[in-house]
Amino acid sequence: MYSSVADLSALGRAILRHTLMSHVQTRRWLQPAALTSELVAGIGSPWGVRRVQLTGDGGAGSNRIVDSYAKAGSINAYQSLVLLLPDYDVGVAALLAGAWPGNANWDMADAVGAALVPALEEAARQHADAAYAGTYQFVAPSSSSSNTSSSPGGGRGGGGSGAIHPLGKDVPAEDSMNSTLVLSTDPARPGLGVDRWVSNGTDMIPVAVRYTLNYDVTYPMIRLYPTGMEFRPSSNSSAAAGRRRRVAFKAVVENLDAPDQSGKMFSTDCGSWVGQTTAVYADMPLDQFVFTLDEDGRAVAVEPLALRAGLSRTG
Amino acid sequence: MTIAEGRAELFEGLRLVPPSWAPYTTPGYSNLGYQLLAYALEQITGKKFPDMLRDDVLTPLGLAHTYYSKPPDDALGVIPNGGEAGWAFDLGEASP
Repeated sequence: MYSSVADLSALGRAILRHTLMSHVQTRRWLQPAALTSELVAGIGSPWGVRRVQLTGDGGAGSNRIVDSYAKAGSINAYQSLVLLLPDYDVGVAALLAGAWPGNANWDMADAVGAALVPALEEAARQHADAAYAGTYQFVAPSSSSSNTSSSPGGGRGGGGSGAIHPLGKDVPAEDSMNSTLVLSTDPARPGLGVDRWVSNGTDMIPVAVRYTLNYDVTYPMIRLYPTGMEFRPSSNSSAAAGRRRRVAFKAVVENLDAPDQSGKMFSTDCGSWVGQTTAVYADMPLDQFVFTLDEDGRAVAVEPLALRAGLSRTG
Repeated sequence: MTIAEGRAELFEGLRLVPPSWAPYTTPGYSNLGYQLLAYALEQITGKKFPDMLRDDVLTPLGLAHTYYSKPPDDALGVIPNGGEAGWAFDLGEASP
């Protein structure tokens, strides 16, 4: 067959956008169908799957893996390559003609990837930092009617309420309540880091550790990850007027001092995919945080769901 | 030789070639596998593979510079000096 890089790029974008196939079919297709004797290589139909390990800032080895799906070809004086990075919804298309060395199509991808992938990682971190990192605190509304657009929870609850009940009921206001959540990003670590979490004067980090891991933890780490779940108010609904987009994140609680299992044959260091929603308080998961976003996609408030308490971003 | 005669010859030739390994032993790169898949699709749909490609992929995605066979206008191609035969090389039914 014959093609152009514009067409191959359009094809790659159509795959990532699941234009011709359903989202479900596309997800099933972009998976290895078989493993191989090379740990980082898998085989699909027709993909060569390669797992790329990124190193964190300062060579910390952040265990960040990016999977690529590629199809290459060569015949006579021509070489081709289409490579997809579904994690970022980007890819590389290369077509070569002439007396190039045999691996030149892959050399192209290597050169592009070396520049592009670290830049995408850092851009994503900066974007997340701007959108989510900072300080969130309980802000008692003033005695006059509260400004709906600035109250926690994106406008729900109206004036005179302190904490926001997820069902919209008012709860008694308190003069002051020391509730704070401080989030940050780290080039060497994934997700959003919970640097500080206080609720009504109680340090929640030991509480979360106790109820999630249930043993003495000497180096706790709580990080928030996107869940893919969102509430988007439809613009033509009067009931949604004044409501904002909300996105849910999931906390993973770990002990970075846990025993090192890396020398063991079957035991693992990483069971975090098993531990979601371990602790629940009256049906609400302790590990679920819902952010309210403004029109620019910047978080203005966060609600740790189990605590039924909305916090406004103050810094 | 007609296409049907060529295809019959392919399968006659395959009878002479031993399999590489038993099914499900290992994945392996197979151009022939995709050619056989194209034949299966043709049997299932009753359409020719180049037509399916055009109607189901190239046209819906607007891929105006992608061709199953050599495009009629050689000026579209990047043809290295002395590489005209390579540019024109037609894979025929092995194109899938």
